[in-house]
Formats: sequence, C-alpha cells, structure tokens
Amino acid sequence: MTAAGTESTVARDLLAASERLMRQPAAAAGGTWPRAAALLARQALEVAVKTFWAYVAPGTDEAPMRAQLLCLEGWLPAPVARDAYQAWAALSRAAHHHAYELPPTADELAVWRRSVAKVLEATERVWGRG
Amino acid sequence: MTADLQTRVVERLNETGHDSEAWALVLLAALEGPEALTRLLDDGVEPPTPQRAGRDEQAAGEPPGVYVSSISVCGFRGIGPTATLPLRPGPGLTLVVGRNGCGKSSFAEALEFLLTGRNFRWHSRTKAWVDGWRNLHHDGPRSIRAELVVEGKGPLVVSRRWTGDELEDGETTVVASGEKARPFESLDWKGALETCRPFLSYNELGSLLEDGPSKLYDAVSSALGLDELVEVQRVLADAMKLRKQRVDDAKKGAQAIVRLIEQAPASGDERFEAAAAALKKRDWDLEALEKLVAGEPAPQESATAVLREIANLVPPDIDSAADVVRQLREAHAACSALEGSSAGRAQQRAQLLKTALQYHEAHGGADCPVCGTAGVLSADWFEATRQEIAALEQEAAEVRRAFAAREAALQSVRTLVPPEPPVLGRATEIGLTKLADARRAWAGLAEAREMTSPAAAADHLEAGVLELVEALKTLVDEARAELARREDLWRPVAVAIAGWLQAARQAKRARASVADLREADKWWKAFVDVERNARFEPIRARARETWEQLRLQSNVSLDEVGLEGTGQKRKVALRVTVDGTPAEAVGVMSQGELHALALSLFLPRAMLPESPFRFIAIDDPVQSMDPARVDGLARVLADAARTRQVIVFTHDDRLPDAVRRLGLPATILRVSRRDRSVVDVHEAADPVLGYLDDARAVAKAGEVPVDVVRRVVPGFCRSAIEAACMEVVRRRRLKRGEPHDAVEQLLAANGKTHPLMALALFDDESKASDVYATLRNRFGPAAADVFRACKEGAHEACAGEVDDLIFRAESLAKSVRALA
Repeated sequence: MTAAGTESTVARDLLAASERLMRQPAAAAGGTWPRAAALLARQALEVAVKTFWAYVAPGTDEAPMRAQLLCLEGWLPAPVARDAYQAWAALSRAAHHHAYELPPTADELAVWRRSVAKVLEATERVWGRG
Repeated sequence: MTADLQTRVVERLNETGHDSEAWALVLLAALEGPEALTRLLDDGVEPPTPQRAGRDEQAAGEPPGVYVSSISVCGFRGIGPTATLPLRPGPGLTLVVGRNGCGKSSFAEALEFLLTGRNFRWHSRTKAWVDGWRNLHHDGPRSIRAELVVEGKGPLVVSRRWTGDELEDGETTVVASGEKARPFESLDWKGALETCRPFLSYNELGSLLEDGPSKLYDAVSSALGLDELVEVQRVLADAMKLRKQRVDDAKKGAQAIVRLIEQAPASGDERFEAAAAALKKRDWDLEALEKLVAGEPAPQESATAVLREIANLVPPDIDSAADVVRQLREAHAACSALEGSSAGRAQQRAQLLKTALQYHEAHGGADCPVCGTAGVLSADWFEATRQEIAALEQEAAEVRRAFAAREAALQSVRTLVPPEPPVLGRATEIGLTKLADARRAWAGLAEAREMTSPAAAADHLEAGVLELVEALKTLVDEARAELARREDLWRPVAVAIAGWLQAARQAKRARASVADLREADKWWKAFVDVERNARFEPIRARARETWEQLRLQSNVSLDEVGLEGTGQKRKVALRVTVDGTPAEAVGVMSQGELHALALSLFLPRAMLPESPFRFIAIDDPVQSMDPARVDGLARVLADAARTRQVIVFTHDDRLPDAVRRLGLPATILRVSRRDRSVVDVHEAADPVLGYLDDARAVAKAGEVPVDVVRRVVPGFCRSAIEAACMEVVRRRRLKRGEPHDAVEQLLAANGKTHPLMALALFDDESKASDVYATLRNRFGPAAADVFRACKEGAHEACAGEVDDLIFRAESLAKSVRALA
C-alpha cells in the first residue's frame, strides 16, 4: 500500500468515527458528541487534503490549510472544491469555542460530512490514477 | 358569576344609596346572567336575592401551588424515543438550552399541550403545522407525561396517550399518589390555565403587543378576572341593544302600517282612520287597535254598523203579503155582506124580545103590555119570538166576527209592513245609490198601515209590495257588496296590525327597560373602573419594575401602564417617553424592546397570587434581544424564580452566559438531538468546565477508540482554554463599562485561540507574538506546552497522554480565569 493509500485510510477512518459518534454516541460521552464529531470530520478533511497535496504537488501540504483548500479549485471539480472549503470553515468554527453558540446539530453535521466524503472520493480518484 | 363579586356589588349599591332603584334590580339580574335578565325584563321575574358570600375559603394567601418535577415525551413533535426533562419542583430558575430543532421546544409544547390541550403556536399556525405533531422517526405508541407536585398535597402525574394519528385521538388522565386515574378535566384547571396562563412562547411574546391594544387588554383582563365584569357589561349592552331594536322594529312596523293605511284607496271605512290615530300616538293605543282587529261591534253611528244593519234587513214576504191581501179582501166581503145590519141593534132587539118573553111567562095574558093591542100574545107569537131571538143573536155574532176579521186583517198589514227602519235614515251619508228607491218604496208601502179600508189596503199592498221587495233586495245587495269591498280593503291592514301587536307590546315593555338598563350600565361602568384599577395595581407596579430592569440602555422609559376604555376602545395604555418626549410604545420600540415589554406584562400576570400554578414556562424569550438586554432578562427571571419555578427554553448560550456571569442561581440543562430524533438532556456546567468534562468523558468512555480519543480531546481542551479567555475578556471589559456590543464584536473578530489568549493576557489582540513567552513566565513552561499541544492537537492526533493533557489544560484554564 502506498503512503497516500495509508493516509487515505486514516482519513476514511476518521470520517467513519465521526459518523459512528452521531449514530451511537458513547453512553458516557453524553452531550459531547456533536463537537467531537465535528473535530473528527475536520481532521478527516485536513488529512485527505494534505495527502492529496503531498502526492500531486509536494510542499503544498506545508502551506496553511486555508491556502491548501483554496488551491483545490484548480485540481478538483469546482463544486467539490467549494463545498470542501465551506465545510472546513464551518467545522473549524464548530471546533472553537464561540460566545453564546451551541454545538452544531446532527443535520448540519451530516451536510458537512457529505462534503468531506466527496473530497475524499475526488482526491482518491486523482492520486489513484497516478 | 362569583358570589364574591355579587356581594361586593350589593355592598357598593348600598354604599352609593342606589340599592332601592329599579335599575339596581336589573343590574343584579344581569349579574345572574342573560337568562335571568330576560326573565326580569320580559316576564317580571325577579332574580333571587343574592346570598352573602362566605369569603373564608380563599381568604388567606395563595391557593396550593403546582410545580413540575419532570416532562417525558415520546413520539411527539421533535422527540422520537422517550426523552425526559428532569426539573426541580420548587422555586428556582432552570434554563433549557439547545439549538433550534433539537427538541427543547417540544418539551415546552408537550407540557402546554398536556395541560391546555391547545398550544398558541398550533392555534395560530396552518393545518400542515398542526398535522405535524407526530414525530416521523417514531412508530410506537406516543405519549406525554408530566410529573407535578402540588404544595401540601403531593405528587400528581398527568399523562396523555395517543390512540390514533390525529392530535385529538387520545386521552389525558391524572393520577394522584395512591389514587386511581381520572380524566384530566376533573382537576378543573381550565379557567386558571386561561386566565393565568403559565406558558409563553416567542411567537406569543411578539403577538402580545402586535395584535393590538385590545387583544393585550383581553389577555391582561382575563388574568385579572375582569372577564366576568366585562361579561356583565356585555349582558347589559346586549339586553339594551335587543330592546332598542325591539322598539325600533315596532316603530318601523307601525310606520309601515300607517303607510299601508295611507296608501289604501279611499273607502270611507272609519276603521282606517281610527287605526292610524291609534298608531300615531306616542305609545300607541294598543287597546283600540286590538278591538279594531278583533272586529268588535262598531259604534252604532259608524258606517260599518249601518251597512251591516242594512245588509241584514229582511223585505216583507211576498207569500205572506198575498195572504194578507186575501185576508183583507175576505174581511171586506164579509163586511159588505152585512152592510145595513148592525150588531148592536140586533143584539138590543134580541134582548128586548127576551125580556118580553120573560114578562109573558111570569104574568101571562094575551095583550101586549107595551102597545096594549089585545090578543096578540099567543102561543104562536111566543114560538115565533123565540125563533126571532135566536136569529137576531146569530146576526149580531156574524157582524162582530166580520169586524174582528177586518181589524185583524188591517193589523196584519202593519205587521207585514213595518214602518221604515231608522237605519235607512242614518244611511244617507254612505252613498248607497239604491237607498232612495228603497226608502221611497218603503214609505209608499207603509201608507197601507194607515188605511182603514181593507179593500184599499189590499189594493195598495198588492200594488206596492213587489216594488219594495225588489228595491230592498237591491239595496241589501249593494250594502253587502259595499261591506265586502270595505272588508277586502281593511283585511290586510287588520292582518298587519294583528301581526304587529305582539311586537308592539314587547316594545312597550322594552322602552321602559331601556331606561333602567342605561342607568344600570352607567353605574356598572363606574364600578368596573374602580375594580379594574384595584386589581391591576400589582401588575402595573411589577411591570414597570420589570421594564426598568430590562430597558438598560434603552432611551424608552415606561411611565405608565393602564387598562383603559371599554368595548371597542379597550386597551392597555403603555405611555412611554423617548428621551423625555411622550410617544406610542409600539411605534418607537425595537422588536427586542417590545418583547421585553411584553414579558414585563406577562410575568406579573403569570405570577398573580390567585394562580394555582407556581411554574412559568417561557419558550425563547431572548430571540431578537441584544446581549445587554439579556443581562436584564436574566436578572428579571432570577428575581421571579425566588417565588416561582421559572423554566426558560432558549436556543443559544446568551442567557446561560449572563446567568453565570452575573452569578445568578440557575440550573442549566442542555438538549441535543441525534439522528432519528433521539433527544439527550444533560445538566451543563459552565463552558470551561463543560469542555473539560466532555474531554474526560470521551477519554474514559472505553467505547471510543483510542485513536479517536487522541484526535478529539485536544480540541475540547482548546475550546476550554478559549472559553476561559473569553470569560476574562468579557468580565474585564464590561466591568470597565464598555458596551456589550463592542465587547462581543471584539471577541467575534478574534475568535481563534491565539488572539484570544493575547486579549486575555495583555488586553491587546495585537500582542499575539508575546503569548508563549508570557505563558511560560507567568504560569510556567508546562502552560506554554499545553497551549501549543491543544492548538496543534486540534488538527491532528496528540502525541502524549490524553489524561495528562486534560489535567494541564484545566490548570491553564484556571490560571487564565484568575486573571484580573
């Protein structure tokens, strides 16, 4: 298995873990699941993007995440790239403490996770061709 | 009508010296209700004398109050499998926090629906909304259950189970401890739930003021128990309206009949004029009209009476006339045959001869004792004389019979032809064309009455009787036709009057009632004003107090709250000034201010001592409120929570934050909703400790894979540190007097971990580059390390032990919170 393949598995695992939290949250975790799920989904996205850049344009994966995401537009279908950026911004916001804001809802998380999954598929398709 | 109110009314009537007025009775009947008032005004049945109410029952303090221990919901609205909201029965503030759509409002709605069977939001929403009561993720039985506690009585469980797909398909029951389930209605809370509604939602808060001053008035006045006062006013007004209407209708009816009379073709029928005169009198002469309609005998001189009499005239009978003529003729013949003879002479001679016979029998002899002729009184003479006497007596009898027959015949003439009836003389003005002929014929025939000669009378009769019979018959026919013509013209008028009479009698009574009703209404309005102000006083005072707390920086000050006006003009007057200039509240206030004002009115209403509910459930009062006003709201709610169980449902963390920052006692429950409407409720600590608790919970769970834990925990720790930084910044700046908005903007613009720490440490977001050095210097190297670890770990798995990370993050958060 290539290095990229391994990393991609990590990204998929993270996304799956995020989804599991939503479906069957650990009893003791109580109300923590929305933020935890957001954290995991964001990490899945970041791992996927970094892996992608390390494979197609090494060095780019060292740039700030915001820049890496913005650059995706040249490589991936525009809707997927745009959704990826929006999902990342929203997941990041959920992962920080914000005054008066409550954790994201299950519906919001589901939308973001779908965007992340599309990024995973799209990036895999690119480096899978190589 | 409560006996208590009745007692106060009677007392007040006595005090004002009006207790013996006729309208006082009307007022007391109105207190009994519309039926009693109708009985009094229409049938004269007096209302029962009011009993003095025993006031001991509700005398002291508040009725036993109801608190909520928990709300459990299953398959209702946003909640799928059973979820329970645990509450602490008793005074205190509970904040139920959750994102929109997380199911928190479903708890609020469930409680409200359970108790009221109706929810403001459903009530005002579309059918689609109402139909959406069922949770789509839930297939099993659906239910709501609330555990309540009644002061001094113990627990009470109210529950509802649905048996079908419609909102109505279910039964709500109540179970007291150790008792059998009974229908919820047996609690008899309906009135209190309406008048002291312990539920308020965001929508209702908005509509409370926007629906207009009269709606607000109604909401407040029913809480004050003013409804029953208004009800009496309505009863009086309705009664007055009905009676004015009756008078009006009867007037119009009378006018219509007068028009009918005026438009009728001239008939000469005096009934028209009499009816019109009776109808035009101010109070109508109903007696006269009744007689007219009943067709009672008209006065003798009236045309109708004359016509009726003529119509009943009977002409002489022609057969009888023929008999009389024959009788006359026979009498005449008999008399003619006896002409020359005289009954008197024959009789006297018979008497003389009888005397001669007696003389002769007594004295004998043959010589005439009168003329002296001798020898003439023989036996032959004697026999011949006896025969002559008999013949003479017969002759006299015949003559007498003939005379008697003649007299009888003449008398028959007078019987057959009576003198002209006087009615014909009175009829000259009526305009009967055949009258003159008839009268002439009658007068002509009547001449026979004076005749002494039977032959002449017979001839006269024979010549004139037919003419009279014909003339009279024609006249009678004419009179009958005229009568019929008049009846045809009169009948519609009579029918109209008959139909109108009942209404007119009612109207006459009604006219008398209206004056009494007006007086009663006048007195009642004054009474209501006094009552209303007295009852509104506690709300007025508290509403202004509440507004003072909620207004904060608002330049709108609430000078006066009052219940004013009645009927269409009723309103809650909210006199405000904007920077000292008087203005209309609804016009000048922002949405948030209006909500605050509405809340200022709602809270005192829900907290009235008469209310059996010691809980108040408010759904999302902070929407559209700015942060500063949320502080005021927190204080107001906490204040109310000293004597009431205040349950507030809110969609963001502003209210919990204000409660924590202001150090107000409160329980905060967080609600979240997972896939398939699985709703969780748990008690929340403050955000810093909350994040750390979350981190520990994940770390300890054992169910969460270790690599997931390592990736998630640093994120929680970072959020805890961020929350600690925000807390310090907010506390510091608000204390300095910086406006809420400015502080929130600053925090929002510097939401990342690093600038937040710079703000916390230096009160200056631009000094981010000094953060690590300062952390190391002030809190030790471990502090700087954990700060870095949390920042980086939020993006990838952390390298070290997660328990250690949590421990050190907590100690850093504590240090940050301790910053001045």
